[in-house]
Amino acid sequence: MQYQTDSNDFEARFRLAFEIVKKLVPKGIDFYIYFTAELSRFSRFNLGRIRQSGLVTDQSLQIVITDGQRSIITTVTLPRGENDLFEILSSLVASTCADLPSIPIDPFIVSPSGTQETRELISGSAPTSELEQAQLCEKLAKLPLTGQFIGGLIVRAAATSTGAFHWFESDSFAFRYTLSHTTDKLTQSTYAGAHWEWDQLDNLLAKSEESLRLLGSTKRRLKAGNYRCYLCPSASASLVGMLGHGALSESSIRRGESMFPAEVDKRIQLSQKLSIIQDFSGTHSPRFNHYGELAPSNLVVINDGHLENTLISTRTGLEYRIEPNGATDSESLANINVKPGSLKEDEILKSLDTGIYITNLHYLNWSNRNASRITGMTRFGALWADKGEFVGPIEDLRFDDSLNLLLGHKLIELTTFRDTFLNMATYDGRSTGGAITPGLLIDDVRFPL
Amino acid sequence: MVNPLEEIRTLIESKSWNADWIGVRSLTESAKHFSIRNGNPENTSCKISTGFFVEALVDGQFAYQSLPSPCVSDIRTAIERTVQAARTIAPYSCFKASVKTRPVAKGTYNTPIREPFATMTASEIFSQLKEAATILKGSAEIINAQASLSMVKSEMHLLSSSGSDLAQNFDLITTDLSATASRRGTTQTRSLNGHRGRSYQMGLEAFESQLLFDLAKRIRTEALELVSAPECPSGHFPLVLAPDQMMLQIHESIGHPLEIDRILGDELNFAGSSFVNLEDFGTMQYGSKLLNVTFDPSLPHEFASYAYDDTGFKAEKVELIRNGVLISGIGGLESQERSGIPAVACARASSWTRPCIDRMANINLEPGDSSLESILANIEFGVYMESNNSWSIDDFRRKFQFGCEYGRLIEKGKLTQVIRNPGYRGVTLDFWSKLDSVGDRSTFEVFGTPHCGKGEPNQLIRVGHASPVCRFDGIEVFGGGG
Repeated sequence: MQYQTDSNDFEARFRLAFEIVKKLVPKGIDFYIYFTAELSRFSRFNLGRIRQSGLVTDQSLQIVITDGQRSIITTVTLPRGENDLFEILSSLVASTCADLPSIPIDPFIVSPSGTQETRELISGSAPTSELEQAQLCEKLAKLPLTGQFIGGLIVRAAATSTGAFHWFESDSFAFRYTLSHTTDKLTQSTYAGAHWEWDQLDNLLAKSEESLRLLGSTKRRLKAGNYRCYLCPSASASLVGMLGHGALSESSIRRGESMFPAEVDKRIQLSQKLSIIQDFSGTHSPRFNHYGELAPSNLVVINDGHLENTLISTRTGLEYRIEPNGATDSESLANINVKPGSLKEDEILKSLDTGIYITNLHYLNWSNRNASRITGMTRFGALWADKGEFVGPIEDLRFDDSLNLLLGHKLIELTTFRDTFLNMATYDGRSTGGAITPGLLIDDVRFPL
Repeated sequence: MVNPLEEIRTLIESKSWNADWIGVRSLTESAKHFSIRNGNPENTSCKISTGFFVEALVDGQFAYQSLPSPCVSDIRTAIERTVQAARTIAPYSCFKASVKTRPVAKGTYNTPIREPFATMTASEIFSQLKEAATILKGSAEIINAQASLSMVKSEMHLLSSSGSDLAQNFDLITTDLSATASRRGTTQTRSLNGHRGRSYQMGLEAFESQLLFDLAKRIRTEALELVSAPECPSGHFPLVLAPDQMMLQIHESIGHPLEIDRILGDELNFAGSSFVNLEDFGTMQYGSKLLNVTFDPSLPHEFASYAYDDTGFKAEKVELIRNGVLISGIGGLESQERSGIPAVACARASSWTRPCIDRMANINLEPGDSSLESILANIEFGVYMESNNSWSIDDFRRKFQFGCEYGRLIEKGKLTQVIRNPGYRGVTLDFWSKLDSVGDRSTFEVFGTPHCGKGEPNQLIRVGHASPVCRFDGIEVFGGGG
């Protein structure tokens, strides 16, 4: 049997791996596989100059083999050399099947059941070649800029022994950078999307330099206390994003690890102005999970302040005997879409009146999860406004307040406009997903330090 | 069967490549994870990651390419492409690196272990985890009980055109226990020294059954204590921190601020900068005279011990802070060339897909000479905290806030009432200046974590932190209300 693929053809390799696993797994045993791959350019800049630059090719296959009572998850890097593929997979499948009987019985095994096929391709044109990177370097060379360019192909795929097959491919880029006036007066911006346009970058750089000029004066030190705040969309994406970290997971709620109590009647109503959906229509991430199941294209999570749906994986559904909704095992929000409000851009300062204009937040964490308390810092140029006029930058402040209140009765209004943010985390490879968020006007935010 | 590393060595040595230096770093990591939650297995897994990091230095600029292939032809193409890439971007270098940033290194390091991972079967591991989980669950008020074991074998090999031939093999183990108790609407979780805090370089001797069962019993007991305990009081008090909370305090407010690449601005866009400037080394009073901190890659079994860093620089113990004065930073050979600050062997990469950057390894607070009793003795009213469960600090490493799982009041020199949701906040230099007692070796404990995050692209790396019990005077402490 000949196993030959083109070395850069991820899909051919995935299909081949599926056929190999299908032939090797004994009858009566189910499996599902999940493929993660990327071909990415990373360039890192400091003082507008290249710090590090490289190309990464990575492809890994997760194989879950289950006999209906036991399962083992195995993940392996797939070699580029096609001849090694059969050898690696046959050794893996054999050892996994041999180990299965020694695993305790799991009453919440997820067996594959889907048969659907989906395919999503997002083409793009990112400047990933060395010459294009040199062109980018030319543009940035005189700027007080630290940043990272990421561009190239991201792939996710899933297939099951029952016939499900899903493919997601996105050719995209993200260039996030920070301009610095001095070492502690900074402004951050991001240019991200599918089709790179040099003019758009020029426009953004010009806008960033303008924002930097606003930070020109001496930083004011504010006392600890409570302040009215306007959070720009980039800051509100961070704040609302905390809901995606465990709070909306059904499993976390049941285990007492969420800000939402398990008892529905004890849940605090958030602001009626707040509605959030998990929305796949922007195609920042695949709709399918590791089991090959499809999530609904949009799922209302918070509706007019009321927690309408939690994220429920099939495993959680089995454990608590409730209907799952295609969530991944981590039950985290894939794409956050926050409904806009009525606050127009030219009314922001007037509505803020006297308070803090926050561009970004940093290092958010739960300080008391069950009390919905979170803490974090302002970052990248928070400004003081007095009677609707900018006064100047402030020294960064730490807030510590209840998310129930910040998104509850302290939330005054949301803006009519929204910005889109791609998930730029690259800890375990490039992430998918993102957020579309408006700005938030919030009263009486507690800053203890 | 041909050894791919031998082929790669031959390839690197076969021609000049028109580069100042070529290196190939291979990494294979095999990780196994076993977990029992509420009596049932969850996420039993095995992960094998293998790949090659090809790096070239041309005209003072590095470029790299990562690929999952041992094929010599692919490595050859990667070297050629990387050399060309470095040449193309060299005119735009942030700084010009010399070949000295990649010293010749020959040697081998292996984690000293007593019981190899293969000495227990999966069935035996599950049996032990199940028993620990049963102990954790031993009350109707425990709503979630989890016991898990992770074992990683990491094999790195560095070959270079200058003659490096370095192999480092690590055995890494993490045990985790946690119990969540719920009573009348109050929920509290107690774990084994914070999430994944019990991470070591050793074999299955870290998974000794009786110790595990004793710890499980203690964790269950303390979870149940917490749900009926009062909130931690708010105010400014003497604060005594256990080593498993000192781990986060050291990590966030000493380790990260001293990273030289951060001081040079590399992380301004992501992880942040530092309040430390290059001219502060040798002069800055970082903390009280009792503060002595070292970069120590030599402590046996600490999580980030090694013989060389990933550039081939030989690793040695270095004082970072002596008697409260800042002496050295955490910067590798590239940072040394950029800053003039003497290097420590700290340049590491989290995987074969990432380049080296300045990383903490083991950052330890050295023991003093106070027993636990003497640390508590003259405290009229204070707070003692264990096991981190919340951490946050600003991007210049000044204003921090931490929360812990478990606390106790200190009254008239004794540990008394259990308190829940203990937390504290402060500003780094002010906080360390208030260090007024450091525990002796009898209070010294070693911990680690696999989750130190930094870098663009992002990298999660393993670090170790050892510390004695420490006391601080007049710290802002608070409970569940903040």
